[in-house]
Amino acid sequence: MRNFGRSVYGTFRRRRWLLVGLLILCAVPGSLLLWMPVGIRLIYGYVLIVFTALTFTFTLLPFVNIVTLLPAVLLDRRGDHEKYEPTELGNLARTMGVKRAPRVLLITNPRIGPFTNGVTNTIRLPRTWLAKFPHTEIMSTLGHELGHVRARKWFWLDMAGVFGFVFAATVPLVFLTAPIIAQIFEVALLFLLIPKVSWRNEYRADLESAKALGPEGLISVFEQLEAESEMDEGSETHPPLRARINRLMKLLGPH
Amino acid sequence: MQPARFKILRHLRQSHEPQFVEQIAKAVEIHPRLVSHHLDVLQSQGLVESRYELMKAEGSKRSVAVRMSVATPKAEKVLQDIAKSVK
Repeated sequence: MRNFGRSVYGTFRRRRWLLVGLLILCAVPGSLLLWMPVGIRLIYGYVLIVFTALTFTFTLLPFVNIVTLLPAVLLDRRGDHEKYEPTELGNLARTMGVKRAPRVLLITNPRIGPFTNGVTNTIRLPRTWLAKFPHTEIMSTLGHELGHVRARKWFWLDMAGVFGFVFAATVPLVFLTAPIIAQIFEVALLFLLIPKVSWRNEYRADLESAKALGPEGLISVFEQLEAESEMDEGSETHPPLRARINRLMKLLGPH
Repeated sequence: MQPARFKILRHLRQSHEPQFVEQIAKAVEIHPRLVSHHLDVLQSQGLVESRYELMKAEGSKRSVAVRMSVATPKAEKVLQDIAKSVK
């Protein structure tokens, strides 16, 4: 449930428009590169360099935020952590088809939301959340994280599909333009599509939690988070809270 | 406080009689299943008291058990504290 959409790096929507702009700049004038006069080709090269630098600076910086995960991971390795062991967790994991229930560790870093570490099979839960949300809603949150564990293979399958698509989409450009332009196009397209996979992964985890525990708990958590946030337009990793609430609302049935 | 729970609690304080889930859902425009969830949470926090009563269902001879809820004095204090903090 990590969310770092709003930041000094501009809004998520602006970052996406930059990527779309870069893709067009690579594909349209880029494919005419061989027929361009030398002067125009030079101008195009300079514009492309500036635009690429600008786009990747703004697009890559939010990922640097992942560094905030490191303290929690290091604490886990040192053993400086407190376990959270609700009695229902084992049953919930079994209900959701997760063979080995992950450990739940409490973290104190207020910048980090709950997240799952698939490598160490642990779920990190901020201590502040225990005070902020009732037990049923904490269980729904853990259900969401278990959903990530359960649907991990689908996530990697989606990622493989995206890599395949990006490769296939870049092949024609390789024959039409300079290799470096095709490579910039490839990376930009990858950055544009990976959030979609991540969003799908989040929706899937929400659905898994709702199937096991009902959607009410997660809806309530998201509504509270939405009320606390100033802007809700999603991020590279998470869809907008309103979109997630709306999807879960459909599971409640007619009003 | 969670916005929906605040709305429900404020509605229960304003209404003088115990309310059942459908009534609350209509008044605060929240899905009855969500209202039920929020009532569970509010009850566990001691802000709402609920009891089940048998009521005649419309167009049926059978009675159904409905959950009647009312705000507790503790809820009054919590709502006053929230109003003060907003001011």
